[in-house]
Amino acid sequence: MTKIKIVNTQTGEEIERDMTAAELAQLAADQQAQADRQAAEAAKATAKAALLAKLGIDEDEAKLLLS
Amino acid sequence: MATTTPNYGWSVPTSTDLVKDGATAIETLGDSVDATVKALNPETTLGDIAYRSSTANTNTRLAIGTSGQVLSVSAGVPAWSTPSSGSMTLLSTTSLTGSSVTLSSISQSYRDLRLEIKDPTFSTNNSSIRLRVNGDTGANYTMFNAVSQVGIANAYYGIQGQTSFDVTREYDMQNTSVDAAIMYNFFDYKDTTSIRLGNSIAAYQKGYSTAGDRILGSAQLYYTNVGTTISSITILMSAGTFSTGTAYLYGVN
Repeated sequence: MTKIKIVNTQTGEEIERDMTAAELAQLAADQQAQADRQAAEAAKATAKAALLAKLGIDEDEAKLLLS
Repeated sequence: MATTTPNYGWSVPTSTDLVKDGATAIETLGDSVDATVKALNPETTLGDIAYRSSTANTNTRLAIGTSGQVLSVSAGVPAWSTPSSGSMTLLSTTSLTGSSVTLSSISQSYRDLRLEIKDPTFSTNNSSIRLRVNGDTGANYTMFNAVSQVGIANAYYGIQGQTSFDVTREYDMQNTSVDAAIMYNFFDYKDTTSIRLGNSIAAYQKGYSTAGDRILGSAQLYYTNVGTTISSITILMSAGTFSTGTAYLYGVN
């Protein structure tokens, strides 16, 4: 099971337990959001690289062209 | 017939008083003057000062303070006090484990919070450490990250409306030989009338020359949810679990 740890910073009490169903659902949502964003960024980088390849220039040269 | 002075009410003989009563009159006047001067000058020791009391023509003695103290006001009267200076108080030291660690019941006795995470490592590559406050899973987290890496172009990420702060991005900190440190600051965390601002610095290195071996990231943080103080902070993994790492939470004044 996936563990969660909760520390009371005033008393020092620590509770380590399995995540509840709601917490697991939130964790899955967080991870999916991160995966989606990584995929979007990767797709963007791939498209950019493909465009530069078609133009036959690298990123620094593209910056020079636009400057 | 004796009269009295207008300011201090001393009994003063008049020109028509009898000479035979002169010595007594002078004694009475002298005693009155002495009592008044003493009441206005209650100091007894080197460095003492006096201030006006609630009784007319009677001052109160304030004994000299101690070295480093400054004159301030307490309950409406002067008082010596030790000036408060900036300080940090360690509120908790917590080992990172599992998928998330929540630092709860954060004291509301400070102005700012600082969270330091030392040497975190993960079970899963390409993970990142995220922060969530008060268990708030709403889209209330905005950040702007700037990242510098060895051999890789600088990167800038502006991210609006996230459900947690992501300040380390996908830094690969799984390798146990990695040196890593992250520091977060939350300013005026008790303010319930305004947005909360923060910043962070994250760095890791697992080598010294290979591209991506050394990463330095800096993020500006903006928690948009207004109306509640920050009373808990959850440190969570974007994927996998913490293998190592320690979180230090400080209250800052």
